[in-house]
Amino acid sequence: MNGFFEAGPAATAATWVGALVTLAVWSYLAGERRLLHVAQLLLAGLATGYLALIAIREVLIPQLIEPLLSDPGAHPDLVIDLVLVGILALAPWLPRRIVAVPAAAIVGGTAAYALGGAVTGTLLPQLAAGIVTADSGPGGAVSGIVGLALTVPVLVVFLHGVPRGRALAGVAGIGRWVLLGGLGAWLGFLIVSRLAILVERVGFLLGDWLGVIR
Amino acid sequence: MSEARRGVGRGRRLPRGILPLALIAALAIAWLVPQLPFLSLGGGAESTLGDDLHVAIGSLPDQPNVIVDMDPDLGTYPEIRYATRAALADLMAVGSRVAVVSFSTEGRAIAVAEIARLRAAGAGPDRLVDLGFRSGGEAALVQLTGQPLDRDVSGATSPVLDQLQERGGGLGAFDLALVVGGGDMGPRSWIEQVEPRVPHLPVAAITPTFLLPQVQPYREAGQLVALAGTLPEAVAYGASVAGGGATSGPERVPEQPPNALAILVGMLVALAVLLESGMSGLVGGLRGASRGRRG
Repeated sequence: MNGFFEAGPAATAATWVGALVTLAVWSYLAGERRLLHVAQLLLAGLATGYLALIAIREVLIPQLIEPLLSDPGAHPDLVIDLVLVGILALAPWLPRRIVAVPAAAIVGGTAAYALGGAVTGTLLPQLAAGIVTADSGPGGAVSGIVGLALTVPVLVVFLHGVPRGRALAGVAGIGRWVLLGGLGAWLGFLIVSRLAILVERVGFLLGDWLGVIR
Repeated sequence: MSEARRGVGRGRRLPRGILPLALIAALAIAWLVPQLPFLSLGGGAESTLGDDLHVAIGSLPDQPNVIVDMDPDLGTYPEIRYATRAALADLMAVGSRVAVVSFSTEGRAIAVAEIARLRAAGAGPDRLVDLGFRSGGEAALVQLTGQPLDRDVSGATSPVLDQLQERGGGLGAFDLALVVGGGDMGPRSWIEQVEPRVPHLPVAAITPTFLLPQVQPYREAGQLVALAGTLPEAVAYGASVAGGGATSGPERVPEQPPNALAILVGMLVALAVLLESGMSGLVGGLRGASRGRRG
């Protein structure tokens, strides 16, 4: 069912490991915490090891070390990169002011990309899509009014540091309920999502492991 | 709280874990029961639920170049695995040249497994190229928009990349970007970082259900050309791809759809738990109010 392995010893071993780890996690439901803890440690260890492996094999060696070793003069930018990587790797032993330089570059760069993208990719196109045009008909007009009536109170909820009169407080109260309704709906989606995963796991145990279903 | 009331609460309490274990047992029984023909997640043969992605892929030009961003997370991938594999089979069936890239380590792990599966099913280097893992999140995505894609993850060229070079080499050489999301990197990142820079590249997405509130507005605004964001859509889409009849090779959808009866049973249990907790809260509140009036 998982389809990652054709029949053979590798498939059998992978299925058994998957089934046993699944049962170890589920053992928590029967009050057994040690097996869950072992499974958690296994996941954390494997994830960290895999991250290190990927970083070394697919990033550091091909994109930094190999170009520098082959022709150092042609890549002055990579020398700077190497220094910054070195500073981050030695962060616990270096003065905070030195470590702050690559850390600030990471945080600043990430924030700049996120903010710029949010404005040009989401905010402006979504505002444009929300504008009701003359040819959108009565359905579009109603939809626009409902959208406006729901959006404005929610935005008012986040109006901090401004004195609120009775009317504004009332609108903010409506906004809080709309917000709660939205969170409830999202929780519903989340339940369906998690349920699908649980159903898949049960199917994996019955099909791949026990061979009861096909 | 009085001793008597606490005693009643203890007396009514079920043994620890019995409800989740009962849920798992109910789901197992639902898996074992033969499928009911009227109970279909995908909405049956007349349904148009899964058409979105099928039409988007079906309307691509001959032998299209498609970049697949595999960035689901390990925890939610089982939910979208069926739709993802259906989409990969669909792309292979229309003769696509597929390049796979990842921006998260979890996505990379899944991508490696799916690439190995497709290779084992017969997808050669002329159809499938592994662009590997790109570190840096959204910054790496931006870098990808301006970078010629002339080497695969091992540093080698491939027929797919050669063909891309003939069309310019960068992201603009692709006819479609299919984003398999679920973690931090997903359709939102592509829409925010790639669409403003490569506006003619259509973006389609496969996401878990819980991301629907985030991605649905993009689909309605036309920023996503197709979306499979719910289980019924995924099942309907998988059924329409499987309906193509491929029984072997990378064009075959390699697994069965999720069990509809098990999903239904699970949802009924979830509903019962919500109702029970809501009703007990309501009853407790009414009792408290009644005591307050008497006291």
